[in-house]
Amino acid sequence: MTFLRTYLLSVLLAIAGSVSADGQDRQDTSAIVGGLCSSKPTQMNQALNALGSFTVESSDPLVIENNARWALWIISALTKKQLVCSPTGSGFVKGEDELREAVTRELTKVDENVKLKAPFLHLPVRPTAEIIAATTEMILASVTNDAVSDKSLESLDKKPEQVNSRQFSYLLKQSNLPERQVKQLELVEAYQLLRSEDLTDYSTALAVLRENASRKSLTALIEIQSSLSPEASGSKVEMTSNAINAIETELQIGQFLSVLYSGLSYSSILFLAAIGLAIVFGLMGVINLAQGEFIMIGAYITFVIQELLASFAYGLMPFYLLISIPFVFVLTGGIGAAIEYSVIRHLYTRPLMTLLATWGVSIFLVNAVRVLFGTQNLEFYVPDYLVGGVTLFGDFLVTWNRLATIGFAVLVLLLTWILVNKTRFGVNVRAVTENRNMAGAIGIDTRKVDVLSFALGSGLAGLAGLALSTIYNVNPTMGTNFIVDAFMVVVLGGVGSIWGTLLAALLVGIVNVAIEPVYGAVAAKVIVMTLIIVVIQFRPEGLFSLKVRK
Amino acid sequence: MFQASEKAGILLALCGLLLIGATSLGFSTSQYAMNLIGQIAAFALLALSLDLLWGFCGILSLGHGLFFAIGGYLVAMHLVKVTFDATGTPPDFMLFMGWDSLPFYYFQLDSIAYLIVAIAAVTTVVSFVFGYVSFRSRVTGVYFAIITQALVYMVMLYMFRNDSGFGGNNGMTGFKEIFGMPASGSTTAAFLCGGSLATLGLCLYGCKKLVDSPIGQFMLAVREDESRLRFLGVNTVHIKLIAWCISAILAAMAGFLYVPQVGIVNPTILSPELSIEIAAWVALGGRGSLLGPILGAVVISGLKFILTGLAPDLWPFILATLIICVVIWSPNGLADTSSHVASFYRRLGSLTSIKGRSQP
Amino acid sequence: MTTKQALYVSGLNVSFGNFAVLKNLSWTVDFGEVRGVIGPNGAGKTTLLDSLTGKTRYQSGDIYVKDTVSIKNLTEIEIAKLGIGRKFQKPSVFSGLSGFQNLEIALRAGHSRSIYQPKLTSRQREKIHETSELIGLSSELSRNAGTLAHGQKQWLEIGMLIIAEPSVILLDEPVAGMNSEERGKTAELISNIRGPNIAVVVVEHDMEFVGQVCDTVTVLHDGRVMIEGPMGVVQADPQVIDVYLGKEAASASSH
Repeated sequence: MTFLRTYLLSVLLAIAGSVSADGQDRQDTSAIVGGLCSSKPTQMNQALNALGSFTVESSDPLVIENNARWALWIISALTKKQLVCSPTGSGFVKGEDELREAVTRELTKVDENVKLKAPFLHLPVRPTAEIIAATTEMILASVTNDAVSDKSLESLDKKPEQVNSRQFSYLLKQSNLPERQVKQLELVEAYQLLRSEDLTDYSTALAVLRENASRKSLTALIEIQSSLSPEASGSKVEMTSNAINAIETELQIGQFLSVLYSGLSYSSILFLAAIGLAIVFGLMGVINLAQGEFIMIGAYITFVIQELLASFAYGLMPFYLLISIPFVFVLTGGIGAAIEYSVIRHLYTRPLMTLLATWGVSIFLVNAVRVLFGTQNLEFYVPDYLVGGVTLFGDFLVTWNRLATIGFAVLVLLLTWILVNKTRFGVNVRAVTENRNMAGAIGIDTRKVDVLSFALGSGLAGLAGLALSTIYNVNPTMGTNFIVDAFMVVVLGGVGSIWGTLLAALLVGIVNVAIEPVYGAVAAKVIVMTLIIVVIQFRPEGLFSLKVRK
Repeated sequence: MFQASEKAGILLALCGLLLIGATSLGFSTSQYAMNLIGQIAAFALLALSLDLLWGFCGILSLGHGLFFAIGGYLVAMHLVKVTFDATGTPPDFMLFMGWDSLPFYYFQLDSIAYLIVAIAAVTTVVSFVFGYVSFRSRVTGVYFAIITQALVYMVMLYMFRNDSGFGGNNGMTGFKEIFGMPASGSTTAAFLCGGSLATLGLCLYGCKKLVDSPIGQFMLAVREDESRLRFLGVNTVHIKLIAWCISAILAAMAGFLYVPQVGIVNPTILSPELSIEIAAWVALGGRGSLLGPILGAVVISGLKFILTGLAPDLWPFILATLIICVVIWSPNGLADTSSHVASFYRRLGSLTSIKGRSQP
Repeated sequence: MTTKQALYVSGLNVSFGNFAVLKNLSWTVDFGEVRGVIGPNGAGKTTLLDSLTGKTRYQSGDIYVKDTVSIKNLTEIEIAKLGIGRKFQKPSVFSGLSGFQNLEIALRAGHSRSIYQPKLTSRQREKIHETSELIGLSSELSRNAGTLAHGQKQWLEIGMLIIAEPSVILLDEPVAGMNSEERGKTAELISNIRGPNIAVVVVEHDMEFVGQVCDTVTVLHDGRVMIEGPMGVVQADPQVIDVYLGKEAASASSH
């Protein structure tokens, strides 16, 4: 609706505007076009700035709107190489099969002998063009009472020092902007005020930058600090270093939070992978070395469903992750049940042999997937709602995909807890875990409990594969990257305890993510390993093992 | 069976010595065959080391590649040192790091005596410390298996680093001479093969003596019922440590023999896969018999040599199927398949004798 | 010598989580006696044996062996070395080894120095044969222990305790699953074991067997000693009758 209105208006005003541009501004505008045609970076930048100032010369909203549209038209033509210049320095804008005079916007024709050439767009000119276009768009939006797009604001934010000050002061006077955008404008203003000699302006700028601590503001301030002359007033030096300290602290907190955050998302995957191992180990004393492959298969099923939706139901693509959940759970659970039934049930009295048998299963699965899909990493489509994130503290970015993983793990944790503690099946699982013979004697079908628990464990590992598909690499051998950490979680957390597994997954996950970037993966593993050895000195059966008479 | 392993040990040792003798008299052999036999002999020794631990003491380690690697890396360091002393330039991976001489821990490694002492010392210290903390806190069974696997994984990650001085990703290779012999050539291969066979034979004989000794009986008792033994007043930690350290040293010897024959060592020998594969050789060959695992290592690694060339895509499936089938249907491994029928009758017999007693 | 107490249990408390199994239990066993311990399921019999052998840690109270030695902080290995031997409810022998090897291991285990001694002395061999005669297995010594009959396994396990010359022998249900002939043999074996320097504790459900082999019987009920005395006296006690006949169902279902 708005778009349509703007479009109609622009068509009408284009005619009216071309008339008004005829008047006193004629000289300015041809000078601007001449500057743009010069193909020299400094002159082009000056012309672009003059173009910016030109848009806000008048106080009449209609004139402003008209000039702004003209400016946008010219800039867009410049960046698209549609602006062509004659050797004499007059500019034209090339359309599909027409040519318009750049200043008057009138259709025109040029002698075929005159060579028209697009001015060369030097590297330093591009950001200026982008910023002037952005501010002009904002001005246009403010006079037509449209919403200012976030995209234009972001372009301002990239190079705040290049913003045209006249356009900017006009924009600051506008009252129809939402608060968030005003804040962003203030931040842009702060960057400009940093170069002000006035101490009050300077301190306002510092205050705004402190409020919006980021790596960029820190760099800007450090640059300012090093350029401050020794004779500069003491309070200015002090204020700057105070602000730098404050921003550094905030950035450190932000960094700490982001480590914690990515640790949490890794822990979520580990938890999903390890909870099945822990339940099955508690129940049958068996560790499934193929658990990593269930993660891998979960990711591959997700991939297959994505591809199927892409071919047969494209509209559902954005929801492929949600749609995959039941399929992944049921299919990996089914494969798990099949393996339990065909292999593992023969080996309950020989747990060490189960390790070997499940290793055989894992070789089989890895190679089957390798033959079917190849060894390359799979490419997953990331739905729009999982792209990006929100900056919370310093430069701590809460990315949506990791947040979704964490949320998903929490949900699975709750469901598993309910399943184990509030259902008939859960009671049976706990009974068999504590005393298999007794449970069998009171009429619990222990075989059924075994198969279902194994299927549950495999299904949860499959869900881990789904949850990590948009974060980590997916290939046939990916399972090994997770399996050793999952073992550590089981050993540390103790057998058959959901809370133990959760706590251990958090510990292992966060230690890994926190240590790895600084001291490397080995140090992280050494610390986890040492932790485990210390823990088993005091609690040989893990942090949260049940105390029963055995 | 037990007598057989003693004979086989002596026979292997004699074969090895004969090969060495014949080669030094100028008898020539196929380098490829010698290399293959020698490598398989090293694998067989590795299988024997795990069998001593798992088959006779009931402790499964899924990290025995660690000790294999200690032997392998130390002998490779020796070879690097010897090459450096001869040429004066450090290996490429060190030049790459900008080092112009070897790090301090290569000190004295050019002496073979020192090398052997170093291998024994490092292996003993590592195995003792890890074994002591684990056994003392009564980590057993599946727990112990996955902790050892984590250990070997951890060391593998360390060895992948380029700044460790052990060649990083690509490992150490390009040795100029091996124990005073040219690095390649059929004579060297024959000597190394003979040495490996002789060592395997002697170790087999020694293991036989060990399992027949009182210590061996106590190892068996740990395997059968560790807690019963504790309630008889035996500190089983000691028994387990003895088995663990001896097994570790045998594995290190296997690494010492293996690396000169392949001419390279890199972190893949520390991958959890190799360590599990050792357990697969033992399980397929039959735990608790000394000859079975040797047979298992020979058959599997022999098949692997042949099939990875012929049908590389098929080999993993064959291995997986073999492991699963043997583990399920022949708990004591392939070596035992022939005696299945006999044992069935024996079991039948003992069943009837129990019935006879309980119904007078 | 005989005036010494073999076991002295004082105010023992053992609980699993919130569930108290032994409640302030005090109890003594003298050298030279064969003591029976009976009681309904859940009375704490096996937990008592577990505490005596270090398998279960107790929360308060104490246990003294041979009058003076407290076992509070000892491991099961150290307790076994003090001369307390235990036969488990489920026969625990080294099934992959022969009967002879089982006895040899038990013999070597009894004297820590002889674990590493390469060859048995002729005196030690003789001892193994004497023991095997005592337990009636001299003709089965070369057989794999796993292939022995249930009763024979029990005897072999008792033999493994005797050969280490213990001060206290704890027998957890020695005749469970035996026929009457085997019970008779076991009773005979126990009366052969007894001596002035040894105390034997028999935990059993079989009243007749307990009456046959034991001098004194302790009745445990709900984690406490209910009554102690000769079998005839105990069996006539109205409380005991009540526990065994009247309240057994109720007490069993409450746990």
